[in-house]
Amino acid sequence: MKVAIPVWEKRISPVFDTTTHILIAEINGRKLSKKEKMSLESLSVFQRIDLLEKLGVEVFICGGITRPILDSIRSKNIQTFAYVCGDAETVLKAFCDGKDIKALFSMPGDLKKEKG
Amino acid sequence: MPSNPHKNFDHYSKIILDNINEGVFTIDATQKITTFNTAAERITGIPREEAIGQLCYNVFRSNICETECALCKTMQTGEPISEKMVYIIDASGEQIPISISTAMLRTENGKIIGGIEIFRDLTLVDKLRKEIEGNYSFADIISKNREMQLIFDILPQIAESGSIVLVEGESGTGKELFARVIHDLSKRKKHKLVAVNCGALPDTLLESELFGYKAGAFTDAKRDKKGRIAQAEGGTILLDEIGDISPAFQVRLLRFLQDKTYEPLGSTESVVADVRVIAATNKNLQELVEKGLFRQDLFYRINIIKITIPPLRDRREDIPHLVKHFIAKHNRILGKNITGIAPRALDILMRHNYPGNVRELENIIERALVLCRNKVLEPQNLPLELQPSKDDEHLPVESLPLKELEKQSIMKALKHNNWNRQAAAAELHIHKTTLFRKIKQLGIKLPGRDGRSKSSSPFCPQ
Repeated sequence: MKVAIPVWEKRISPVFDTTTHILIAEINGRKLSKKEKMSLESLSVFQRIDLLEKLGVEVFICGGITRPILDSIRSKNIQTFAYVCGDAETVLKAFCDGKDIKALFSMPGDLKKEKG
Repeated sequence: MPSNPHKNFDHYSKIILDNINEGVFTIDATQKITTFNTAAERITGIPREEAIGQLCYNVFRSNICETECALCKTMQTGEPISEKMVYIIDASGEQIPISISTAMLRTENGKIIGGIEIFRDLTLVDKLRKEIEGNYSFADIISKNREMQLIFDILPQIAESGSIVLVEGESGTGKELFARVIHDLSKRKKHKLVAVNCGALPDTLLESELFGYKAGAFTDAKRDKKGRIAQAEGGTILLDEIGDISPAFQVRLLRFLQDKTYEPLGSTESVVADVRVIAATNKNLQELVEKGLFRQDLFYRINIIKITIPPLRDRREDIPHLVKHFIAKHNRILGKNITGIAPRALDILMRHNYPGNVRELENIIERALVLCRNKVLEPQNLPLELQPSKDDEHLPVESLPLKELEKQSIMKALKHNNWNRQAAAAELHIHKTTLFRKIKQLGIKLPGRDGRSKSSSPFCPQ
């Protein structure tokens, strides 16, 4: 399963729309098998969405994201956990372990209502 | 007992902070929020108790947090920043335009203890601007062109009707934007608008993409997959580049459009769909029908309501407004503060032919904003291929007398249109007879040919 997380240094990017890098992780069973950091610098938001689809991403974990972009990603059958913050590796490990990342790493605000 | 003056001061400071209209937050040296006033709660949608103690970028979520955080810059240089236009993403995922100002926080002894950011919600300003510009805009489509105005007038009725709509227009004219507006104005707006690019996929993929498949339908189909039509249930499906689908798939599509039923791949049961169909193409479907490349029955099925979006070169009057709109848009995205465009640069943009239409203009402006180091976009910020050649260079426009300026504009339009008077008049937005009168008045010498004659075209080898 491919998991994508927009990253800023080691943490989850606060805004996907303008972030410059994305971490693509492959998970087999509950183990992380491969990790790769890709640049998004010259890509528009639409190209970013297309890239997720093209890479075959099944799970997308991100921080802040504007509503139309979030809807567009979800319309591509990508399971999305939005408004998540913290250290990207920690969140990824928690996800591999089957933990509820929305409950553990939600961004401030009334976002716990946001369904993953 | 006299009251504690410090305690009183803190109390009044809090009252003042909570009664001003600007959002205010402060951070400590580790970027954690220490103060968050009532207006900040209102603008961000985040309660104070959840914001305090959090890292500022996880609360503020602005487009500049990652690349050019204004507070970090102020803390590093000591220089305050004022009225920088950015946007934030509020608690409900809305993009809020704001202006921010930052400063360092120092104690009486000059010790730096953190930073302060003051921000103003510009949503209302943005709305007012849109209302003022409302005369020539519809939702996010901007145009004062007569043909476009006629389309704006009928869009609400088209949206309400629920019929199939065919949107024709060259690449980059904004066909998807029109589809979005039709969907948003319709009763289906609470459901999804799902777009499928029919031209990009081979038949088999397009079929499984549109109609979905059942587990076992083919080797890799391990479980059922919903198609795009099922995803758009209750909403709208945009079939983009419909002119590019194969004759074989045209038959399948026709059946779906006639009955609104389909069978997912590998299924024997028909599914009834409740979706509105919008078809878009950059080709002339009528011509494709005449050439036998597009089924006539399918054409009649989708050609119920047709919208033809004129290319940008036929509505040059929109260019200044679109330029203004894209400067404002990309200022927000890139965190820049460009105030406008120099007349010489706008003049260059007005003369370009835009084979890529509005999308091309937007790309030009985005690139110019990235390169621009001043407050105003200059000709050197535009792509090289748009820059005038040395032969075209004249005195600065501002320093020419009116008559000379008029003469130059007419000459440029004539040359640009290969001496075709009618096309030059259209480019200048004047009547053909007015152009003839001006040519005579200003003593413009014309070559003994007219752009209508093919052999005289500089683009055709002699």
